[in-house]
Amino acid sequence: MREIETAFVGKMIAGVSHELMNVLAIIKERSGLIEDLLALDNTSFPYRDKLTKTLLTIREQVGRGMEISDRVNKFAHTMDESMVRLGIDELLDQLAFLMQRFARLKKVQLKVGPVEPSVLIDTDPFRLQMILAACLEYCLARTASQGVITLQCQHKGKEIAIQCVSEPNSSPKEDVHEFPNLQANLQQALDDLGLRLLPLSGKHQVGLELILPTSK
Amino acid sequence: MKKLKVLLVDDEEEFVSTLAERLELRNIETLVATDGVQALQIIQTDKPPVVVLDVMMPGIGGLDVLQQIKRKHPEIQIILLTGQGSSKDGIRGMRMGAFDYMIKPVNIQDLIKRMNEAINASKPEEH
Amino acid sequence: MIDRKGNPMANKSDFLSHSLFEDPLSFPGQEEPPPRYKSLRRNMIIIMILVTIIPLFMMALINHYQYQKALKREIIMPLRSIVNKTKHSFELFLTERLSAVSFIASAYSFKELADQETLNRIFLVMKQEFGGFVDLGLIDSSGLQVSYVGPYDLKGNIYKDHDWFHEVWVRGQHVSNVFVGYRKFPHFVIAVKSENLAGETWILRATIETQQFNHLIAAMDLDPSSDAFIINRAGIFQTSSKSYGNVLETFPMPIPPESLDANALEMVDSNGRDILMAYTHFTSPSFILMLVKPRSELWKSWYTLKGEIFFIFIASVIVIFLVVYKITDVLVKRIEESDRKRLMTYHEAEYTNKLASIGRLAAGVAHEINNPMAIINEKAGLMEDLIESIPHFERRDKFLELTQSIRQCVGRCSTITHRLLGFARRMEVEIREINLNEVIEEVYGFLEKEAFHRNIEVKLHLSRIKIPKISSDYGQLQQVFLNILNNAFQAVEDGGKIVIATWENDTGFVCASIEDNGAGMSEETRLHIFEPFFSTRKGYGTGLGLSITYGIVRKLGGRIEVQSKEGEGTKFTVLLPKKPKQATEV
Repeated sequence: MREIETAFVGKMIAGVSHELMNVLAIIKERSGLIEDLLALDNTSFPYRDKLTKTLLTIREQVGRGMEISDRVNKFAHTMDESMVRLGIDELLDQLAFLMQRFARLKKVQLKVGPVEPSVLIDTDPFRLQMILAACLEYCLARTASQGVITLQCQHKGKEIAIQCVSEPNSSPKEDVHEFPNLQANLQQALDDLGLRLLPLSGKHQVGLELILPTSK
Repeated sequence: MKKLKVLLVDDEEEFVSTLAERLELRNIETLVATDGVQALQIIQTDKPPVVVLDVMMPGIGGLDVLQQIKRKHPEIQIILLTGQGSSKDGIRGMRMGAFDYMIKPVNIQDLIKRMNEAINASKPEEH
Repeated sequence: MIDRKGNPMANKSDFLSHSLFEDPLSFPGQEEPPPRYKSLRRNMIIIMILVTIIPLFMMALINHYQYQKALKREIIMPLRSIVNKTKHSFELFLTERLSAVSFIASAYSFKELADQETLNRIFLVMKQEFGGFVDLGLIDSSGLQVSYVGPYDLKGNIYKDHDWFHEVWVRGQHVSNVFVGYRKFPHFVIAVKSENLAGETWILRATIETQQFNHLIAAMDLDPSSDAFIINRAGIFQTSSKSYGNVLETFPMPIPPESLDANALEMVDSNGRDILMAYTHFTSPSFILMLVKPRSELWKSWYTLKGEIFFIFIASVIVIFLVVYKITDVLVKRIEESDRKRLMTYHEAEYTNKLASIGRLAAGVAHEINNPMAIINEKAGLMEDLIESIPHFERRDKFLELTQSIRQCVGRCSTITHRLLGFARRMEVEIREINLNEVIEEVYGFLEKEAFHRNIEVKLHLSRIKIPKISSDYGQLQQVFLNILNNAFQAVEDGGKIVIATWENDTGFVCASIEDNGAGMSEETRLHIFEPFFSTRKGYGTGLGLSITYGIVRKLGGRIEVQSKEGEGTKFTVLLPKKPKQATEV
């Protein structure tokens, strides 16, 4: 029953992103039409350049909006199925986008380390994202302004470790005490997905490591 | 009528510059800042009577800037711009001393109207 | 915020000050597999049984031994007592007879005793006064039987070399063992030495039949299963035993060790029976009085008691087993039940949390859209401003049309993200006391402009009588009525009429109805109207509005009813309880 409800929410959000996409497309068409009409017109009149520049900006912003819509759509679709094979590169990319806003508000830069596209895992994409988002939020809360947080992926034998680490000397204080809270909150999901969560220690650094088994 | 002077504060450059341009076309002197620190600096030097302030900004948030302006220059009127889901912030801002809040995207006519109301509110009675 | 040094501190935005993923019930729940309860049950049963049965068992054991000891004493004491008493009787008997003979031997002179007639008379009196005498005889110091009264012909016998003679001579008296005497009956002899002042000595000898012994034994008044008899130290029966032999036969079992006080032994007899033997040695003569009782007889009461203890023990054990099993069963079932409820609550909380997180994430991302939209809006506005200021511009109208259209699109996007944010907010439930009229008035406020522009008459018949406040979530109620009212607006033509009413019905529900005079719907449509993705308006929305609304109302513990007639209009009625139902349903 819960699965259905999650899928329902996913459909809702996907629906919204579709509508947004449609509207953006209309804006694109309209502004495109203005561009065309301007191009057709040979007469010279004031502000022609300005208008052209403005239209360009509009196009850029529409593109931006469309990208966001597209991402929201992808995110919504992760709620469709509870077992999917996906690439880590895609996953981390998506995650960075989801959390981008929160990072920006804290003036923290979010980077995604290079990931081979061939690294695949079988998992529940939505729940995994939730877990990673919680981890990223945890790191974000413990990283000072102007800091950098990197999402990266490492092979560890048969397993994969997704790491979320802040730069050295970017955390105002060392506290490993709150990690157990995070772990307890995520325990159910971690167990269901067969994952392990470990804290990474470093001088004035905060980091978390999520261990996943690779797909066979 | 004396020319209206306003400071616009928003981290989204394209937005704030375009809005400034449009206001200038309507004969309103517009100053622009893209973060709170810059805003406070400009207020120190130029003393605009009205400030249009975006609530959701990285670093020092809009509401903090609001507080600081009100503390140092209580006569300056502030109009807050909020996103769709942050109308709560708008209401909070008003309790903290903002003149009013408006939800983005704003209609420029409405904004100008509100700015005039703000200026009239703080102007002492002219004899 | 700025710290003391004037440096900007990390800003706590609303989103981050309350973690997206905090779990109010933070315990690492795992799906409890049934084996856990099996082993719990097993352990509980084992412990309870051990704790109850071990003491019971120990008590039974202790009682067993204590009782056994006590009973033994109880059984043995009387036996010993009887044996002692009988022994005293015997000794008294013998002492009396001895005294009698001794008295006669001393009271009369040798001459008198030697006289046959005198001896006869004495014997008659003796026999009269003391039962059991068979004969009487006088023997001089040389061992010659001088005179004799009795059934034998012993006058003239010489006993000089006899053992008894020597014994009497040395000891002064002698009680013999039993021997087969006159008429083949058992007898025994008492002989007493007497001495006069002149130094003459003589022996007076009397024979007594053991019939008296039997009388004494009979006087013990024993039960039929008891066997009392006397043996001498050599093991020869002095009286007949019921089971072991007759008089003068040999006692078939080993002689018990000397004990002048009554003693009791448990042993197996020569017939293989378990017996209890009480015995005592006489000081003189060297007799042993024995009393034999079969164990089974003796321990009858003990066996009964033992049987009873055993029976009670077994019955208790069975009862304990049953009770323990039953109680454990009930307890474990309760534990299982409460664990399941706890897990469900946990899952409920986790799930609610998850939805809330989704909501907030979605909302956060939706905000991102606002920025480009605001820019587009301004840019389009700028273009409008510029174009308007160009004199004699040929395509002026066309361009303005296009820029207006762009700005309209931006407005639409706002509506869409607004809906998404509303949806996200809905997933965070906050219960408080709400006046339904207020909600409806506010919702109407959202659509007031549209009503004005389209000339739709909206009548609010909100109960002036105070309708009770309901405990519910404001955001969700807003969603519900906004959705229904929106539908009504969609359904009516321009110039149509919508009536909203609120009241409290007689079952304590607070009700609100929204009635329009629009297109109405067919019965077919009406039946499916709340299904997800069922939409009659092609291209409008996602077809989820009413199904979501239905879901919300249900979750709040209420109902939605719909009445409609095609061509006439539709009436939606929402019924809400004063208190929301507890969300335990899955």
